[in-house]
This record gives sequence, C-alpha cells and structure tokens, in this order.
Amino acid sequence: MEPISHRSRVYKRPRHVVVVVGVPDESIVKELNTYLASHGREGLKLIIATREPSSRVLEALRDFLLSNIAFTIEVYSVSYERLREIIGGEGGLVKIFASSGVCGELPEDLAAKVCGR
Amino acid sequence: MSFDIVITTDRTMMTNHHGKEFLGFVATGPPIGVPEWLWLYITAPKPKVDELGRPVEAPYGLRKVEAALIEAGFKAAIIDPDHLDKYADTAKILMIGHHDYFAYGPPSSEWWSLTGVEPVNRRSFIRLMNSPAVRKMKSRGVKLIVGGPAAWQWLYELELMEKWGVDTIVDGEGEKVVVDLAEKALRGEELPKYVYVGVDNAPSVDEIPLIKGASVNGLVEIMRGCPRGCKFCSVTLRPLRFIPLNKILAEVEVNIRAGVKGVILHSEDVLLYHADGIKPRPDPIIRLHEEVLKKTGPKGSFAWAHASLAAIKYAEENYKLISKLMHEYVLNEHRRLLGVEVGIETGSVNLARKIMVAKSAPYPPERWPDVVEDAFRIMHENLIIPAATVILGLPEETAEDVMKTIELIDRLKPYRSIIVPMFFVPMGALKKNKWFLRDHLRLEHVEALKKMYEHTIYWAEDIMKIYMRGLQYAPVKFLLKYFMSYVKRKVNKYVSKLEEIVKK
Repeated sequence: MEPISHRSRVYKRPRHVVVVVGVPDESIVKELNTYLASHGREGLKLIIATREPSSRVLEALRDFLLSNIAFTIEVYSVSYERLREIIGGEGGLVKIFASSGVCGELPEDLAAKVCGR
Repeated sequence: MSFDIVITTDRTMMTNHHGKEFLGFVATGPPIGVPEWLWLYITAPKPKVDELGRPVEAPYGLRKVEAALIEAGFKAAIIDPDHLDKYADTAKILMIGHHDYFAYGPPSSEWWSLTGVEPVNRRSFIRLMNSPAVRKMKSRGVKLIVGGPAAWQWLYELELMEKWGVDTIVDGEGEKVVVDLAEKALRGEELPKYVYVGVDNAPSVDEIPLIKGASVNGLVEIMRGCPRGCKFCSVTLRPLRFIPLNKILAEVEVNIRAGVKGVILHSEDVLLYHADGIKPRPDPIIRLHEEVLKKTGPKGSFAWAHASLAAIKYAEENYKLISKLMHEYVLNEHRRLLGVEVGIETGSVNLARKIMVAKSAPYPPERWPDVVEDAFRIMHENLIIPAATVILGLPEETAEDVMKTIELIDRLKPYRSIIVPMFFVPMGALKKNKWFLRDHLRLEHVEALKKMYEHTIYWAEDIMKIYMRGLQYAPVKFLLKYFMSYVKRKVNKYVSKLEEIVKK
C-alpha cells in the first residue's frame, strides 16, 4: 500500500471488545444491550466466533443493531481458529459470552477458555 | 489510469434526472403503463462521462466519500455503472452507496406495496450487482463495501449480502470510517461485516471535505443534522452542524467549473441555516442566497432540498423573509419557481404531539394544521412549489388521526403543490417498529390516498408548465402527460380494488 499522505480525519475505533462464541441468542442480546447502555459511549467491537455464515450472525443481531442510534459498533464474524488468536492477544477485550449449547461443540482448549471447563 | 478504489451506484442514482430533481421521485416507482427502458429514460438518463468513465455529475454522498479518500491519499474515483468493466481487472475495493437499495424506503415501498410491482430502483440495483463487471471484481477478491442512507436495508437482505459477497455494511456518516476501512482492506486486514458510525465518529465541520467533482444538479450541503427530533427520521439522530459560507461557495464553484450551473441548497431545513434554535434568522439566510446566486448568475436554476413548514411561516410572518428572498433574489425571467420538499406527515394534532412534537416549533403542536395551511399559502403566494409528504400508518395512528389528515388535505386544495403519500417505514427512533403495508390499509387510508392523488393531479399540469419550460423537455413532458392520463384512466378501478381488499 502506498503511504497515506494526509490524515486529518481520524476514525475512533471502538475501545471495548466483546466476544460472543456461537450465534448470539436472546439472552446474549439482552446482555449486549445492557453492556451498550453502560459502556457504549466509547464504542463497541463485537467479535462473533462461529461456524455459521455471517448472514446468520447479522440476522441474530438485527434488532440489537437497529435499536442502537448513538454509538459506534463494529461487528466481526470470525472462525474458531481466529478466536484463539483473539483471546490470546486482542487489546481491550472485556467480556466473553458463550451462546447456549456452543460449549459442547468447541475444541477442548477453547471450551476451557470460553466455558471454564 | 487506474483507481484502487472504485465508487459507484446504480443508474437510478447515477443520473441528473434531466436536471429536474423531482423526476428522481418517479425513479422510485414501479414502471406502470410504459416499458421499463422508457421509464428509465424519463427518470434516469445516463450522465455525461469522461474518457475514464467518471460521471460529470454524481450523487453528493458519493462525492463526499470520494473526497475523503482522495484527501487521505488513495487513488479513488466515482465511476459510472456502465463503465465499471474498465476497472474490473484492477480495482482493489468497490464502494457502493444508495438512498434505497432494495426499495424498502419511502416512497418506493409504498408504490411497491400498492401496485404489487417491483420498483425500478430495486431492479436497477439488482442488475448492477449481477453485472459482469461487479461479478468479475468479486471473483478477483475485490473488497465490497456498501453504505449510504439505506445501509440498514442490507440487514433485511442478508442472503443477497452473502450471495453477492458484500464484505462490509457501513451505516452512518462515512467520511472518517471509509478511510479506516480502505486502509484495512488494502493491507489485507480483517474487515468488519457491519459498522454503525456513532455520534463520536461524526465528522466536525472542519473534517467534512469539499467535493472534488460536480454533484447531481449542483446540490451542496449547507448544514447537517436537524434539531426538530421527529421520531420517524434518521437525520435528527446526527449532531447539528452549519457549513461555513466559504465552503458552500467553494462547492458551488466546483459545480460551475464542471458546467453545472444550478444549485440545490441541501439541508433538512434550509431556513434554519445559522438559526436561533428553531427560529430562522434573516441575515445568514439572505447572505447565503445573495452569495450563492451571485455565483450561479441569473440563468442558473435554484432550489431548496427541504424546508420545514413552521420555519416558512415564522420567517414570513416575522421578517417577510420568504417574499424578500423570492422577489429580490430568486425569481426572474429564467427562474419562475422554487421547488422544495416539505413534510406534513399528519393532520392530527394528537399524532403530531406523539411523534413530532417539535416539528411545529416555535408554534405549539396544537396549531400544526394551521401552521401547515399558513405555510402552504405563503409558498403559493411566492411561487414556491412544495412536494409534500404525508405518512400513513405511523405507530399509534388511529382512524380519527387519518380523518384529520384528510381534512387538512382538503384545506390545502387552493395551494399549488404536490402531496405524496408515504407508508410508514421504520427509521430513526422508530426503527424497531413494523412496516406499514397494503394489508394494513383501512378504508380511511384509501380515502386519504385518493385525496392526495386528486390534489396532485389537480395541480400537476399547471406545475409541469412552469417546471419544464423549453423545447428540450418536450419528449419528457409528453411521456409524463401520457403517464398521467394512463393513471387517470386506471385510478378509479384501482381504488375500487383497494376498497374491496380492505373490506375483506
């Protein structure tokens, strides 16, 4: 990539990172709403680790995303392999949620980290 | 010459609508009574392009994104959809913006719902996405980023998002985030599937770049955001910013240099430029008109994008501002009217209090119907022609509310105007509510639709005579007249059909 000569407009990337393992279910969406209300001001980076297609992820989050009219939110959809790296090294990581039933299908090392087994 | 970032949209957006912005509304409808190609010819002719496929005029929102990327050092350009093939082998990022990707916005969704026929803008966008050039780019791994005011619609078309390989949906003001996304994409970093740009990332006045090329029909933004807080509107969620006059004039010059002589002042409420809250102040408005019209000269066309009815009434009754602007600055032998979009939305005080409590300000919502009529009279007397919207199916709307709207439309009969019905689309603070569709119509809605149709047809020919003067408009005028006579022939049959559906 060529060097960027002029950067007067700086996008503030979200400061808080929340990881959801599996497609977010109703209870996780509820938690996300609570989290957004209290910490949304500094932006929210939401990383969804799942084997499902990203359309499925966005569908599950649709009402949550549409009800937000104030805060910066980024949604990423990643694989379990990428999740390992994120848990190991993502700055600003504040919370990990596991959707119901997902713990049983996770590889052992991830299940230990995400589900506390 | 190649561009790393190609910005585009479909034909219904990449056009100057023959220099007549109101024809853009027609592009959101289904082609009825005429073949689709003819409908497109009437509403969305192809723009002039240079040898690189760059349109002379392009949608203003795309121009802002292009400017932000160029100023950040990227090789970016807006390319006409018919010329994307020139970059199919070289582009690295494809950015697409739209006002109404899937025809879920107003008024497309309502035409679609009423007629059952898919609107032209949706068909045209789907054609763009399936075009060989876009498919080739995707097969090469080009990153596809979509945004604009209709970005939310992708959340209802997730299968298409998957099928077409959309990498990122951007909802909100794009000037800052597009630079970040472009950097990530070119570095091969992971892109978010969705970004909502919050208030903290809205660009300040200094951060809003000047457009680098001409905008469609010379549209220039004079302010961003709106202080009225109507619950159905997404613009009101943005912070209010006034664009300094020198920046406005600089953009007018960009347009003039490209051969676009006219100006559309864009704001949700033009008369609130540097206002005292929601009370218009004459000096900044007069100066704005004086300076802008000096640039365009007497022959340049001129319009306001939007104005509020309350501001029109207040400005005229307190400062005679409307008549002053029109008679001392705007009107002359070349400019015989001023077009503007205004929102009536409802004739019900009760509903106004619930969903748009400040729309009538500085007058109380209890006076809303009078505010509307007074503003219409003022506009009529000063040759301002409003295209007014009325929203049917707002949350909590009752039969009584719709009856009040019908009464108000009756009161507006003497005033030259177009009144366009819109079915409620969940946007703004009401985003989580349900769409209003044909199945939700009641008899009073059908009556309201009929009233609005009668009002518009009553005034349409008169307006067309002033709006489309000159031989160059003869073919479009002829086709519009044909379309209107077709609608007149069919409407009674259609209303009866709607009434039957409702009764069932």
